[in-house]
Amino acid sequence: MSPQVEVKIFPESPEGQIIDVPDGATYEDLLKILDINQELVILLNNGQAVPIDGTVDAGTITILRAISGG
Amino acid sequence: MPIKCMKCNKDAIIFQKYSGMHLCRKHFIEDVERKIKLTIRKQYNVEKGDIIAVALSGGKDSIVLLHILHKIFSKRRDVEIVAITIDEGIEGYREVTLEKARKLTSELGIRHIVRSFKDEYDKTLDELVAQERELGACSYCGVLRKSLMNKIANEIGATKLATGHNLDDEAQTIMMNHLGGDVERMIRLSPPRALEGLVLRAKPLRKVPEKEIALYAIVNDLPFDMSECPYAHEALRGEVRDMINDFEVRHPGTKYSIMRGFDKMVGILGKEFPQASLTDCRVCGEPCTAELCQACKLLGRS
Repeated sequence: MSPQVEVKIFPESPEGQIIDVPDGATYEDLLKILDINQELVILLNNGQAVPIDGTVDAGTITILRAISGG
Repeated sequence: MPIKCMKCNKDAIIFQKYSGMHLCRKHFIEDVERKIKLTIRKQYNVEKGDIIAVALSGGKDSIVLLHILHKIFSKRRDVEIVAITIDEGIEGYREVTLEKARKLTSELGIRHIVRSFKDEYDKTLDELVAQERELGACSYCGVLRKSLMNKIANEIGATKLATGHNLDDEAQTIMMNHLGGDVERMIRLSPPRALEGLVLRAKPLRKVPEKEIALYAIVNDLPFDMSECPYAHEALRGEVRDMINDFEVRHPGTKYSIMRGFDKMVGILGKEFPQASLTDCRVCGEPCTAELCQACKLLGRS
């Protein structure tokens, strides 16, 4: 069974959404699912910054659109 | 199992694809600061008696710039840092960043000069762009802001004017000039020598990717907001940014390559295309290449 994670995207959807990610998916894979370029965002898991090639853990993932004009 | 920092075995907070490194918070901060110190040492020789004016909008880039310059130079008694903020008069936007700028300079104990378009030009940007006009809002804002910034920097005797341009900004501007075939503008991006009346620009963050500036701000608890200027951004820059970012994901290191190639060429280009000499604008006295400067032209002064 594929894991589900809660994803909050700032500023546009801070209320969060539940997303199914394939087993062993990385944060990079998650961004591909969401069609977000990794150069434009910072990823946090439970408030901690995480590397893009890390495996998506359970928890709340925050995607900050850190680059203006995006 | 979290990925570990390649330098100390703590949990990594970033993977820099272009360098192949995983770094923890401490070693990421060190890496950003190392790049900035190296840029300053190699490109912007800071000397005894320097007064470094820092263009502080209150956005993440200029906040990080001031924080790091303070960290590097506050112990040196022979170098002074002065922050300058221009309040263009953009309702609902500038008040917020201005507040962040004020908070940071008071915390750090840095002299802070705030001047407005309203006081200087008798009109806010909102009022200027509401008039009949030929150019986009960003043209007015950019020309007037740079002119006023240079004027204030000269008034306080600044020897350098530091701005928060990061690697993404630089790569975009270089690429835009390539696409437009604008060699003169490219040389102006990295002037070979100081010009009379124009305070020497310094871009200490030019070797740090924008994403890493944002991460640096977050891990150092620096004020960080994602608000955007209500005026539309240059459309071309947006397109070029998306193109470069698509390339960067597929070919990590592209942004650095664009800048590295440019840095190698610009010195040679500068010899082939001598810079136009500057004169004083006959209305405001600011340096310019024509009789009347761009700012006065836009304001309809004559």
